[in-house]
Parts: sequence; C-alpha cells; structure tokens
Amino acid sequence: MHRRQWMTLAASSLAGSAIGCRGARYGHILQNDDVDLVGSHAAGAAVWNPLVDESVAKLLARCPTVQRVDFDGAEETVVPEGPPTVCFIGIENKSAEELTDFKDQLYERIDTQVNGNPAFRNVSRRMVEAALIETRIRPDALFVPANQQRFAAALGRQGLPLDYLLYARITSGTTQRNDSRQRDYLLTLDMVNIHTGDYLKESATIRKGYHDSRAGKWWQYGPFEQADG
Amino acid sequence: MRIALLMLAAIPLLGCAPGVDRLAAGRQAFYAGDWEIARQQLASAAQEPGQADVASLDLAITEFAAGNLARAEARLRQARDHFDRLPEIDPLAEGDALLRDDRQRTFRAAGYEEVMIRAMLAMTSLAGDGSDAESYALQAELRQQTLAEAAAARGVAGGLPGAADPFQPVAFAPYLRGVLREATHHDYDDAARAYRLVRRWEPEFQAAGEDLRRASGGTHSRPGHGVLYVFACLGRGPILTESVAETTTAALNLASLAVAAGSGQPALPRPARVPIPVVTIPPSPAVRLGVGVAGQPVQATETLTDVGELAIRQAAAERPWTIARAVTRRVTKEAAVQTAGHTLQLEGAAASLFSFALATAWEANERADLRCWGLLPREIQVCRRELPAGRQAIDLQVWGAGDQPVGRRSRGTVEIRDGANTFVVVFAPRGEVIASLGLEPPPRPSDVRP
Repeated sequence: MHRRQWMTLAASSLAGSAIGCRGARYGHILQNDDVDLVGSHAAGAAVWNPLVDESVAKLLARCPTVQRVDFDGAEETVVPEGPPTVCFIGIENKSAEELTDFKDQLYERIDTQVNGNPAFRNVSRRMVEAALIETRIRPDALFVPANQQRFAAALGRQGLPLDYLLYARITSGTTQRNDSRQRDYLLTLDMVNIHTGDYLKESATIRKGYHDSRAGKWWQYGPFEQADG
Repeated sequence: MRIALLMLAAIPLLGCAPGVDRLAAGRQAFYAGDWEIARQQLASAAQEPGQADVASLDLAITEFAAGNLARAEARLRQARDHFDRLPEIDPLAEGDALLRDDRQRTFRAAGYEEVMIRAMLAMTSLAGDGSDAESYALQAELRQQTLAEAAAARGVAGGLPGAADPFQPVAFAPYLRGVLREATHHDYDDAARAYRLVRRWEPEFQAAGEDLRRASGGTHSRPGHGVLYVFACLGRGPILTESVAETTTAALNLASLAVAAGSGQPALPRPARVPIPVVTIPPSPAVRLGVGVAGQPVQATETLTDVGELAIRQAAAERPWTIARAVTRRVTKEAAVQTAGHTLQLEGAAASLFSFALATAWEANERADLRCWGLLPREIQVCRRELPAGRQAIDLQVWGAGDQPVGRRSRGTVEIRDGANTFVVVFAPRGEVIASLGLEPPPRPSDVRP
C-alpha cells in the first residue's frame, strides 16, 4: 500500500462517515409499477416473483376438472363433482442458492394464486402440516402411491377430500466464464392426480448474469457480445 | 514556568486512576448465580462511558439466565441495531485514540459476536414462545453470509500481509436454523443444507452427521415422539487481558505509512513495546453436560461452537492492526512532544528532560482496549434426544475431565410434544448448573396426591 493509496482510503473513510453512510437508514414504499431490485449476489424478487407468476398461470391453464372421491381408510365414497381440491405440499430447493426468507413467501404466493382460481379448492397449509406430522411422511416421499394414500386418508379424516398434490421444485444451472457468471433459475410445478396417477408439469425459467462490475454486463451481453466465446 | 504550564495542560490526556470495576464484579456475581447483584453491578457499569456496550451485552445474558426473556430479548435487539447503525469510522473517536489509547475508540462487536447476538436472540425466543426464533435464526444466517461475502471481497482485494482473516464462521447459527426447519416436517431440504454447513464449519461436531442423515432421508421423529434439545452455555467465556507486544515488521510498515501520509515526511518509528489485548480463557471444570432422562441412559452434550477459539482467532487477526495503531500513536506523541519543546525554545538538557518526562508520562498512561462480551460462554454445546410425547423427568449434571460428574445434579421435567421440539437452555460457567430455562422444577412430595 503506497502513500497515495493510504490517503485515498483515509479520505474515503472520513467522507463516508461524514455523510453518515451507516448511521442513518431510509425506507420508502414501492409503487406497483416500480421495478424489483435485482440481487447482486443471489436471485431475489426480480427472479422469483415472475417465475412463480408464469409457472402457476401455465399450470392452472392446463388443469382439467376431475371426478373427486373421498378417502376414508380403505373405503372410497363418490361425492358430488365440484372444484377439485389441491394440496400444495411445499417447495423443494435444489438450486445452488439458499432461499433464506424467500421460501415461505414463495409458498404463500403459489398457494394464494392457486387458491384465487375458482376452478380449485386449496387445503390449508396448517392442515398439510398436521397431516405430515401425523403420518411422519417426508414431502419427497409423497411421490410413492402408498404414501399418497396414507396422506390423503389423514386429510380425509379431517373432512378434506383430496384430488391433487402440488409440488414445486427450484433448480439452477451455473455457467462460469472468468469473472462473469450466468445462472439459470428454473421453477417447476408438478401436479399429481392422486386418483389416476396422471400428472401435469409446467415450468418457467429466468437467466441471470453476475459480474464484478457493470462493465461485465456490457462486455459479455452488451455491444461487445463476448459471451458466446 | 512554561514547562509547568504545559505539564498541567497535559494532565487531562493522562487520564485518571480506575475506580471500582463494576463490570468484573457483575460478572463474578453472574458466575455465582446471584442475578440481583449481577444486574445492579452491570447496570451501573452500563452508565460508565466506554463500557456501556459491553455491560449492556453482559446484562442481556444475565437477564436471559435469570429467566427475564423479554428484557434479554429487548437488550439484544438494541445491541444488534446499535452495532448495525455504527458508521464505518468515527473520526472523533479515532483522533482521540491517536492521542490517548484504543480505549477511546468506538466499541465494535467482532463479526462472530454479531452473529452470536442474533443466535442468542433466537435462543431467548425459543426459551419463550418461540414466535420470532426463526426470524432471528435467519438473521444470524444472513449476517454470516454478509460477513463471508465481505471476507471473500477482502481476499480478492488483498488483506494485510501476515494477518489471518477475521471471518469466523459460527456453526451455532446454521444449526439453529436446521433444527427449526426440520421441525416443520416439510422443509427437510433447508435443514439438510444447514446441517451440511455445520459439518463443514465444525467437523468435530459428530452429531451433525446423524442430523444430516435424518434431514436427507429420515423424519424429525417417530410417531408419538418429540425431540428434546438441550443447549448448554458451558464454561467461562473468553476475556481480554493486557500484555506487552514487540512491534512487528508489518505493524511498523503500516505505522510508517500512516505517519508519512500524515506529515508528508517519511518516518520510521523506533521499535517499541506496546500494550495489546490478549485473549484469556478463565479456567472452569465444566467440560460437558450430562443429560439424563428417567429410565434411559445418560447422554452428554457436544461442542457446537467453541467461542473461546473464535475469540483467539479474532484477536490474532486484529493483532497487527492493534500494534500498528499503537506504534502510530507512539510516533504521534513523540512528534507532538518534540514540537512543543521547539515551540518553547527549549535546548540542550532541558529539552531532553522535557521530552523524556512528558513523553514517558503520556505513553505510560496507555492501556490496551480490554472491552469484550465477557459473559459469552466458553463453548455452546448441544444434545438432541428423541423422547415419547408427554411429561419427562430430566436431570442435568456438569461433567469434568474424563467425563467425571462434578457439582450437584439439577432435576426437573419437560413436556415433550408429538412431532415438535422442546428446548432447554442451560448455563453452567463453572462446576454447577446455575440456570436451566425450559426445565420445570419437579413436583414437591406435598403436591403429589395419592
């Protein structure tokens, strides 16, 4: 470190403290048309929110109505046809990033959007948790038909007929090119008909670049177009 | 006459003799389990300038151990917000420290202490209704991420030669998160990630392997069972004591750069011995905590986070900077004394005597900055036991070297809920359990009806 560097460091530190860079904080309400912050190190709202909106919309658009049945132990009782019941099991994070506080919010966002569609009825998250505790079945073990039946029976005992199980899975793919990195985020929704075993699958993807500086974006994806090698 | 006046003017810089050490008295009362005295002494210490922050942190631990969870949580939240709001640099305090010593600097919690504040917040919540525990655990994790990113950035930019990186991962934080996520019965993937991190950061913690296996392919507990977690704050935590250090080459280089930058003239300070803080871990017979459940074999807690080790590594990382600041201060003082001598037009023996007397008196008053969060435990240990739902009788006893029980046995009961976690937080700074939150006292014989 030379003298000039030392002086620069000292001056910038003093200037930073003079303008109170950490001493005071400022908050404001975002308007609906304000853009989401794009995370500098991880996905963030600008990635997750559109991924959920797109994948849920695509899935709901494809869902047919079903002949619903109630599970009560080994007996099945045909009940009048109506909106099928969807049980959203949860989000499995298989990506390279920790979802931290986003996970529960994504759950609620997906659950609310499915619930907002009059073609479906949702099972409350608290009921889902109670059934998971009662049966001690892991969410990833619900792909096994026998476990599905046990789980549906547990919900059925609480007076909740079940038609579909909905799973969400987040995956990522990372491409590194020197100091730049591209990460593709994929949100996949699986809706399994527990009566027939048929399933619907929809997904949405968003690609994102990470660079050490703004120039990295211009260099790789801007006018210089270096990303293709 | 001029010399006498100057000497008189310098008296405020020399400081005055320390009075009663209320901080130390408060800590001793804590170790004895005397919450009232500890609270009084620490509250008085919190009023003294320079000690307010550390006394407040110690007070939070005292309130926690005494079972005043709301007060403990409020104090920890206050500390968290205070350290978050501190500016990167405080020019006035730094200037004062340059004239006197590092005790004048703004007290800043070390990175691991910032994480510990949040982890302790999670613990206070868990010992109560647990409503904010997950948020606090998440905050601890996010703070740790921020520190790791800053450390990575420093690695790219180049740190101080010879200095260790001050980033110290605290496995306690991801462990808490893993425990809480596992208990949701549907976020096992989050739990597995957290336990993986624990295993990487604390490879000696054997239980992480079993935790990871369970989160990856098992379930939280068998039907009809719940889980008891005993978190033990064991041993007396690290404190700082004063030592004298020889100036190192790295520190001299840093100091000479600072002086050259300030004066415009190259200057190399003469090697000197300067007071610096060193980490001391007070002896304690407590090695582990034995957890017994009626009719079942006793199990011992295992070290999840070695706070003493974190403090030692943190001090090692800061040591070159501490010495560099001390050397810069020494040079500044000598330069100021010499300038004063020239201003007074002193020459010959009088000038030498003046410089020697004033500089020696000024420098002799320097003390190392010994402020630290002294009531943190030496280690945070944990024990997990799956138990049948219902009321269970628990006994706790401190184990010493060779897993030999020391001190008295503490007994109580806990309510185990089907598919849920039950938490007990134990403080055992010496050979006895001085507090066990979450453990209800056993029913007295007179309360039991035939």
